[in-house]
Amino acid sequence: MVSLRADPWTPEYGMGFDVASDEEPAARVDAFVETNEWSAALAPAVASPCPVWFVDGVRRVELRVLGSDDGRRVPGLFGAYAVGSVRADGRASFGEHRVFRSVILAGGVMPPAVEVRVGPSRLSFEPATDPGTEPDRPLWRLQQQMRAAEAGLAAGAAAEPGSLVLVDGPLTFRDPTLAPVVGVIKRSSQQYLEPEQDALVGRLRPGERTPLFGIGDPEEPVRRYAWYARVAVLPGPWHDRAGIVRCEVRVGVGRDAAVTLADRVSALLPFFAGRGTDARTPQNLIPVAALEGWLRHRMGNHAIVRRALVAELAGQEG
Amino acid sequence: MDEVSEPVGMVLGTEDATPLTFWVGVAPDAYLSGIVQDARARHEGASFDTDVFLIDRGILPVETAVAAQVVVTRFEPEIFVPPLPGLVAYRARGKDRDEALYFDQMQRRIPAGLSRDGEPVFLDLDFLDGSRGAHVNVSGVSGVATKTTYALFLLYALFHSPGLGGAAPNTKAIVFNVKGEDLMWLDRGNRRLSQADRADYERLGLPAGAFESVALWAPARPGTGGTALPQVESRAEGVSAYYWTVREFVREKYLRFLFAEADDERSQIGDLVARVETYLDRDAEDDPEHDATVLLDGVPVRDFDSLCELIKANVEDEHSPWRGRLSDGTVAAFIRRLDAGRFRMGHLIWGRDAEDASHHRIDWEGAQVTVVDIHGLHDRAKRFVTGVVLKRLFEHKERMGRREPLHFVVLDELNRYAPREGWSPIKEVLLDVAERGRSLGMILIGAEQTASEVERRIIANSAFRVVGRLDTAEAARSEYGFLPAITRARASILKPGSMILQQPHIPIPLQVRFPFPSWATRAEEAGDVGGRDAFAPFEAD
Repeated sequence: MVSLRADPWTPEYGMGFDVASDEEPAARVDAFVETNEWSAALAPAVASPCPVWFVDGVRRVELRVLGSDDGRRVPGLFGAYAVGSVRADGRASFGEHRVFRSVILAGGVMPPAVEVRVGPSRLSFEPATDPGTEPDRPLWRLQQQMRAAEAGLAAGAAAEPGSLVLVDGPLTFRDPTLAPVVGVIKRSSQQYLEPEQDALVGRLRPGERTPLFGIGDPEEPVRRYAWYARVAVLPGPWHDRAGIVRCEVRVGVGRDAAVTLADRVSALLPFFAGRGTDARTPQNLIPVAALEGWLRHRMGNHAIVRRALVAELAGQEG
Repeated sequence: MDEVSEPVGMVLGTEDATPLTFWVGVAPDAYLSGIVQDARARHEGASFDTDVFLIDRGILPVETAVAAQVVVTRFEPEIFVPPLPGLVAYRARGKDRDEALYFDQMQRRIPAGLSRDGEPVFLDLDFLDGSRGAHVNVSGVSGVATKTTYALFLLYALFHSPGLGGAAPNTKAIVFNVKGEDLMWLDRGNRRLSQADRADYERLGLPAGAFESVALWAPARPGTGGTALPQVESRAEGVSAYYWTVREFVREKYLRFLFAEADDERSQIGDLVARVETYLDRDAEDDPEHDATVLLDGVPVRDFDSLCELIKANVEDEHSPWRGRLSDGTVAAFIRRLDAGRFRMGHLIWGRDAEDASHHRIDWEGAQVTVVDIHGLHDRAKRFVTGVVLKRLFEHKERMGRREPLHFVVLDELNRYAPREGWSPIKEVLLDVAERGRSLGMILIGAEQTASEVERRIIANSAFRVVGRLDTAEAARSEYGFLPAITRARASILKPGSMILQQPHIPIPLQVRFPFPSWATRAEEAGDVGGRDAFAPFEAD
């Protein structure tokens, strides 16, 4: 008989569990880097309190543009992104944050730097280009810039001894540092485990985790240690993958350090589980949700920035 | 004290800033004072009520914002433009504060208390002494509102600050003691005055001590015969007994004050009282053998009882001209009230057994502050004493025909003497004081629990309105329309010692705190006469 279970995310955000049912594991996965025993969940004890940093970024397209260079047209955009952190050490407070603005064109065409006045402040859009020509390349470039800024901020936070740094989303691998930064991924979009290991994921209880598994590109050594953990148990009509996040650390931190990190993070996550009112409950952790709102606000009023940009472009025309 | 204004925050741009009121974001570690109408604090970034628990557990990061609503007191020049968001807000100190509160425009001023930043607040003497206005009205719940104490503080400030200048020594005050014997110790310093209280007085520019020149009067004890003794519990010496004589009663027409409860103006008893007063005065001859009594038909009226019997006989006699054509019903009502009155206050009118009567007539010129104790008297006797004293003083002022020297009258329970409804001879005198006292130099510092029950014109003629703790329902009445809504709400939680003061110059009522009395209010507190000696150790350095 067919059973129906609900997904807690609001539909605009898609599903927290977003894996195609017939998909084969795409990457190289080594399920036995920690243990061969996948029959029971690991239930780490809550570690002694330490400062936890949550690092996240937000981005926004202010205005899409079409650049032309000697008759060649390329897509582009004015964008803004902000990265920041929340430090939770018994008291949650906003840490350092930075706001960036970019003007990006595709096709390797470098736009000029643009500066606009909005009220008493000046907004400087730094020029960048992406060699690709597809229409979504400028947005992808903006995303990469944001991820890089996030990584920089995370590395800075990780420099504090004894602190735990959680970055929202997968880790970037360009960052060569060995900082013990943990990526927390809200959405499952890929099938990593074989069915016999994957069965454990649905049985996890809050604070518990699966054993570590290694992820790498096919035919390459493992680059990340990953594990699944449950943020919250949702009573009622929800499916068994609701409330599951995947966490990952770089292999470079070492296997033993990765195990320690996995234990600490997994035990900690339920404390920060997202509110029921969040569109991506419960995976969107409360400090992260608050940080995103705060950072969006720091980027300024979208309508005002957009109007200033349009006025600036109109002025150039004349 | 730093006399330079310091920045404490900025004008908010998220709330409308208007010319008359605006919000100021308060910088961390700063606090605002002065005419801050309201203050608020909130979590920025929290959207649900339950967020506060998450914040407490250190899960949800937020920022705490504190803002204060500021009400503008003054524009120079008078152009009504709003402050722009982001402008720096300063806490006014020194000269800036004086200008904000119009103290710079007060030629003569007396301290009226301390504002919440501990700085003195002044009131403009021009509006108190009759030059441009007069009278003070104090409202508030009995016991908590400290109305009388504040009225006395104002008197103390008046007599001990340089505001009055050369007029101070001749300025007099009459204070009616209506409750307890609190005011019978004004001439003694307060032992319980702390060092902090003393500092308050110093900030106000006042010495901390007792009233220097005080005469205490208590009603004559009933049934002592011959020698009049004051009826007072807590204190044996320094109190004079007061009574009036039959002759004064007749000549000064005091009979009406025996009928002083509020009455329908159409009642004919008033006519009968006036007739009787006139005939008494006309028919009575001074007793050549005793200056306290009169002769009627050649027979001496020995005492007040005899006088009442004579009055009774005359009005009951259908052929007596005293009675006129008034109905039996009116006469019966008259006699009923005459009997009731004489029973309650007969001991205050003495006849032949009066010795040295002039020493027992309340003399308000003898000391700067004259306390008339009426607290132990029956209601009718209270009205009689109050009515007689006020009438005598008013007539005295009328005869003088000029404003100075000033006479201040402190009277609590105004609602009893000048009720909103009905007519009474005391109300008439009080209305005269309220309306003409300004030019005659007779200043009323009146108090009552509820201004809504007091004759409107008396309240309306008061230049200064003071409010202590108010009953919530009372605060909602139109009599307190001068209080902004938030101040009104605050009035219902005011602590003893805090008052809200409205004065003509300042468009917004100010909350002031006045210091603990430096004069004794009961025997246990009483230090030495004058109050200074007890503090000699402190003054030495």
